[in-house]
Amino acid sequence: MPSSASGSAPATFLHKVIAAVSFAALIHAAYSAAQHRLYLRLTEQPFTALPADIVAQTLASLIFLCWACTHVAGAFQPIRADIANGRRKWDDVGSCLSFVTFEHRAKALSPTYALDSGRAFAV
Amino acid sequence: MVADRRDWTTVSFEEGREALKEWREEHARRSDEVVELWEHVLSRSPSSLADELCTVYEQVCIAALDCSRTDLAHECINALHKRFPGSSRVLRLQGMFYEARGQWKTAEGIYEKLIAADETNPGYRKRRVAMLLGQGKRLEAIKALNEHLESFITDSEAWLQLCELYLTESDYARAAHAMEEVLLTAPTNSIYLRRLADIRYTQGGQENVEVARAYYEQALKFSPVDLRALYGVVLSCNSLVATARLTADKKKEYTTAANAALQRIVERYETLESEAANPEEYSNIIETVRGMEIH
Repeated sequence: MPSSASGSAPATFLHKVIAAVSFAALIHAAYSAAQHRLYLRLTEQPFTALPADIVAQTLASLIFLCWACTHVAGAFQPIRADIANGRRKWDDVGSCLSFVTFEHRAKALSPTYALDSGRAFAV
Repeated sequence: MVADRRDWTTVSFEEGREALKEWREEHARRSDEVVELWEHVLSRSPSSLADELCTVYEQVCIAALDCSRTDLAHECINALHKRFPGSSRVLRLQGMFYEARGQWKTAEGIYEKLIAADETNPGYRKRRVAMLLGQGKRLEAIKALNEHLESFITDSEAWLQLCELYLTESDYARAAHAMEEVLLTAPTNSIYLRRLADIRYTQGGQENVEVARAYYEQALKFSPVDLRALYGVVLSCNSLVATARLTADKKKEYTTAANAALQRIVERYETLESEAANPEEYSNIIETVRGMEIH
């Protein structure tokens, strides 16, 4: 049975809110960085580094996003390597068709059964 | 699934083709249905099968031999021979044709020729073993199969067949060994694990039943819906608690495992009961199952 291997609690509303907010903050930080570069280009200043607040916002939102996502994603599931075998029958799995022989009762279904190999059979 | 048992004479071409493909892939031996599908549905326009045509011919040929329809088999072999004149695969079908008619010497001659032409193909040696089985020479077949496995040690189908043969001879120790070799090639297959557990449980004795229980638990890990594995856990734990000399901890562990498995079985029957047409019969089953609880 799949157990909560990561030890995390299931996703609450708070986790989902934090995930959404941090994702929005990340997008916002990217947009502000682009805006900042545009501003520098317009005022003909050299670009050396992004302002500290944008960097701080990017890092913080990234960390919160990762943390919130692990909670929203939930516990680890075991790798279901064998899921197809749940419906298979032993008749099919153990059929070994390379070794199939034809010496069985179905021979009697043949229309020439009574005449084959000298069977004394009152038809 | 497309291919559940029903009246195959009235299905559409696509459905028939789909069904045959499914049976080919899962190695199902539904020969009478294959022949019925071929005769009523697919043979009307064999050219529409295009790429699959020859595989289908092969499948229908073997199914026809299984149903004792030598006329249909002959027709398929002729069609294939026309398409691939010198093919060894067609020659193998020819060999099987002679086997089905009981002409063992002719079939043996064909297989010898095929083996001489291609030493590395395991298929022809397997047919030789199958011929021994067909003639009822089971012990010789086991010997031949062992020889085959010395050269083709990873052939899991051959190991599986060997396991089945040993089971018919009630040689459980060797059957378990053969099944373990099968498991080497497919360690996560819950069906093989369960089969091996069944064999071990049948052998009996505290050690074997403990091993059986371990294998049943493993099968459950890979396939949680396996009802036979659940029953296996219940039976092996019950057997150990009742007859083996155990410490109190072990006893407790087995009791909880058995009762947990039993609970899952009951839940399964309860879901069936809620959907079934006649729920009363399920209450009897559930009561009987509950009776297996250890207290």
